[in-house]
Amino acid sequence: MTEILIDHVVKDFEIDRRSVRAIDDISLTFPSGSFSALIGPSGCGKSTLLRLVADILAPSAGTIRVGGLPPGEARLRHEIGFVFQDASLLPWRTVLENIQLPLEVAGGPIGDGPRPENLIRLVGLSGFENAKPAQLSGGMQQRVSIARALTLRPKVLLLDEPFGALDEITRQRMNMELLRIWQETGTTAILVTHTIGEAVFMADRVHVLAAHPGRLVTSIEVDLPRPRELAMLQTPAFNHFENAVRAALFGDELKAVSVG
Amino acid sequence: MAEGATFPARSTALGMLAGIAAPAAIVAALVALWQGAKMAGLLPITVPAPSEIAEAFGRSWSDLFYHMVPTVLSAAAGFVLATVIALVLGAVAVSWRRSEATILKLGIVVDSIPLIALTPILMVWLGNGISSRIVIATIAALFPLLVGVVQGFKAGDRNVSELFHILAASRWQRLRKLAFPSALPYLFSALKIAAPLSVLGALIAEWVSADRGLGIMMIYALFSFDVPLAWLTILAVCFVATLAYGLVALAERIVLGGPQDPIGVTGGGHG
Repeated sequence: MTEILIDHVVKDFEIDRRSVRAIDDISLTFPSGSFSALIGPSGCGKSTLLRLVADILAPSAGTIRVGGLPPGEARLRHEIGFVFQDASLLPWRTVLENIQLPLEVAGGPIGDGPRPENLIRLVGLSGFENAKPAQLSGGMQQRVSIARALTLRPKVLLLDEPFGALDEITRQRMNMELLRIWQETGTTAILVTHTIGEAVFMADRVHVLAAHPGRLVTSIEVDLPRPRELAMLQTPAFNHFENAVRAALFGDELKAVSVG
Repeated sequence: MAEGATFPARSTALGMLAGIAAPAAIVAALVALWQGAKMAGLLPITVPAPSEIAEAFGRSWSDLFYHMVPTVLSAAAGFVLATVIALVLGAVAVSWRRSEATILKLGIVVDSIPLIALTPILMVWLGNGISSRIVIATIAALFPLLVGVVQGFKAGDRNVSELFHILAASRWQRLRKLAFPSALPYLFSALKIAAPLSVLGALIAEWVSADRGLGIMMIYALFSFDVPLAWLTILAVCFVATLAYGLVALAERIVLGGPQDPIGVTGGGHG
């Protein structure tokens, strides 16, 4: 249905009249309705990859398909929801008005889109409809941002380190809620993160990227049952996947340190 | 901006009272000092005592208001016109990035023409009716407004701009729902600078040619060496300019309602 295909994609940036390769020949498939994580050091092009899928940037070579369509067309059909690292809310609008923004821009709900009131309940902000963003904590602002991304019932949810600025405890809670929301909405989700535990906990498949230039190292299937629960964090299986991701991220460096 | 608004509501009225009382006391003290200095013969003949100015007001107040009306009208019209022009040019500048440098350069050129030199030329061209005085008031106020509007329109955060792209927002929606609201704090700062400037523009125009207005009243008073009356007109101009500033500041309070994030967007700042 809404599979995302990335086929031999290259992205070059022009910096000081010099061409810098941000992404070097990455091919990936994100199955419809799956939850995938992109992890890697800074400079590996994970945020750039997300912006290519969202049609914020155009690839220098290769093709991207979102549900069979070019990203530009998927964007115009409002099939893409994007959550930024900082909440990026409009400070003069209330919570409800921020969530209604996509409806105003699109000129009404797309198909059977969820009502903003229901979205507010979905992200656990009932009672804060008329609050201004400045009155909310960072976690609550990010909830608003997630609700806003879901307003037009997108088929694809792109998350660019959405909880990177939050503390560990809030972050874990938000992750649980994000998984619940993802399961209720049935979107194809891609999460950009630089936290190994978060990637393993959230995703069906973790794609490990390396930097300079950004390229795919390996993809790791996370074969943990759903729904994911906090107790899983302490299981050997979870550790096994974490170690697999860590090994892919650090490669030889890790071996050099390991002493009998 | 609006640091005072962080006071709790209860002490706001008290704070405002204190905010008026202190400057009023200083002004009163200065006026008393001035009067004393004049009576002691310390001031030249070109500086009248405050009591002489008050007396001039007593005998010429109807003249003063008669001349104040066209000055206020041309300043207000010029101010409004300059705001509209700045908004339109600013919208063009941010909607078509390539036009921004040209528009700002044009603004600098217009601003760097000495108004006192431009005014007689415009008077010859447009006639010495109110329309040419409005044009000069507009030119006087335009540049700070243009700079403020362009800066404000560009103040939107990059992520929010990307969001509007993802939502496939039109240029008009982007302007109305993103650029304009984020520009408001900048716009008001510029309006506060521009309001007294438009009064100055109207005044300069009246110096050159007018049959009614504070500017021409000032010239008459100077030519007839009525020193207290000249000073009275100067005070009247100060009053009009301060009032213009005050009205904009009041509008700012009503529209923005309190301290605003001048960046225009909240967030963790980890961009």
